[in-house]
Amino acid sequence: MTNDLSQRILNEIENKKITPQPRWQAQLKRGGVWVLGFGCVFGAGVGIGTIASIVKTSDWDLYRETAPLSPPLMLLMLSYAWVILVAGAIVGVYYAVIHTRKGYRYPLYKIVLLSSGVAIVLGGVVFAVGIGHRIDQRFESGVPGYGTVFSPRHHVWQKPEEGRLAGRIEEVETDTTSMGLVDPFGHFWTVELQELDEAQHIEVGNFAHIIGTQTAESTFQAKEIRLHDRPPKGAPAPGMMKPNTPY
Amino acid sequence: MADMDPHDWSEKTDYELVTLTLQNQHAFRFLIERYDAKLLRYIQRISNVSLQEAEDILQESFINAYTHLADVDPKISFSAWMYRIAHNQTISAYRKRKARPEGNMLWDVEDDVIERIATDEDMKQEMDRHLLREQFQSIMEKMDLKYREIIELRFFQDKSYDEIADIIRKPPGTVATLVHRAKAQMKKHLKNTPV
Repeated sequence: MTNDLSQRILNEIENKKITPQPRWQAQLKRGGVWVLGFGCVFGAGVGIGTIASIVKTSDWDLYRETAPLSPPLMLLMLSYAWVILVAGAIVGVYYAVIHTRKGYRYPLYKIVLLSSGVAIVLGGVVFAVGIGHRIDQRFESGVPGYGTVFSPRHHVWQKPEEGRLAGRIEEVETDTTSMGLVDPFGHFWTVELQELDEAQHIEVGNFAHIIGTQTAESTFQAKEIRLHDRPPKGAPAPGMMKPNTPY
Repeated sequence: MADMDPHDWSEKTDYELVTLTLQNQHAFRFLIERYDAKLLRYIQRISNVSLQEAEDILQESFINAYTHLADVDPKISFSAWMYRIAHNQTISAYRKRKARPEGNMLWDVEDDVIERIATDEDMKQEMDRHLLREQFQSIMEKMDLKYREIIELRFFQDKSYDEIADIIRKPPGTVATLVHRAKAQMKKHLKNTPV
């Protein structure tokens, strides 16, 4: 049987003119796996850094003063798009590792823990140098649907009847007793500032999370206010649809 | 190439033969003849296909191996690499089949295999070795493919956990778990077998 079979296989190789693939093809494939692995770790790091920036500007503590913050709500405020991206990147790392020469010898939990650890360190750097914040702002201004569908945290924040208002500051009265604000839905609000717990340096273009009381259809009495950076030049307010109001 | 080759490379190591094959196709014959019998038995036992089908799968496995010879890693045994290819080829052929073949596998159970299977205390107490030997064929036919494969590699081909890990591309810890579960399934089938 042995001689027959080996002869049959050798004949088949000869008849079909089969030749071994060149070494560079195998090396290219292996290189591709490593590139995928590093790319996914990098992607997860960027995602974590961006999520950290989002958490920093989500003002959860302020939110909790008006309503409890449930886990699904937290996920929405974290921007589930980034959470999905980070999870997908970790899956990508796992796929890449088990397709390296000996990566399959490592158990799932070790690969996930190690790659998450590296991604967290990388994410810390991305957050600390402000890249995460810039990415978030660029996405807000340049990716259609980012603020409304993929990262709807400002929409979640916005609930005047529960005492929360979010939006971009459009104008400030010279005596700073009130200001004009456009919420993520494009609605203009007059925000009264006389009852603020502490004085704030309010600038046009800043994004604000405010807690207080709705006093009329488009009027809000602010109790506490948190200000965030201006968005990039020419960009709409975070989470906003393109303004369709004349304000 | 189909002509007989004047060289005798039967003393060469697997990796030396791989290197030689990349320069001279005739060297591949020695690799085929070194592994074909073991692999044929492995394919037949895990998939339960007929001898003819097993030979076809084996032929495809060797051709696939020949195509990817440049990818052989000297740090991983050629044996594990070759088994890995046969494993993939067999699983792929098995999945393509709509009807599951029956009664083609032949398990010639030697005493040392039974001893290796019944190493832990629990098995020693509970397992009737004579009964196991008698019923081995029918028990194996009832077992899941992945457990049949583990039994074949661990107890019939005497592979280490690390070698099995390289063949099925799973961590050695997972291989240990699979061996344990395969034994448990075997025990369950043995208990349910009418004497």
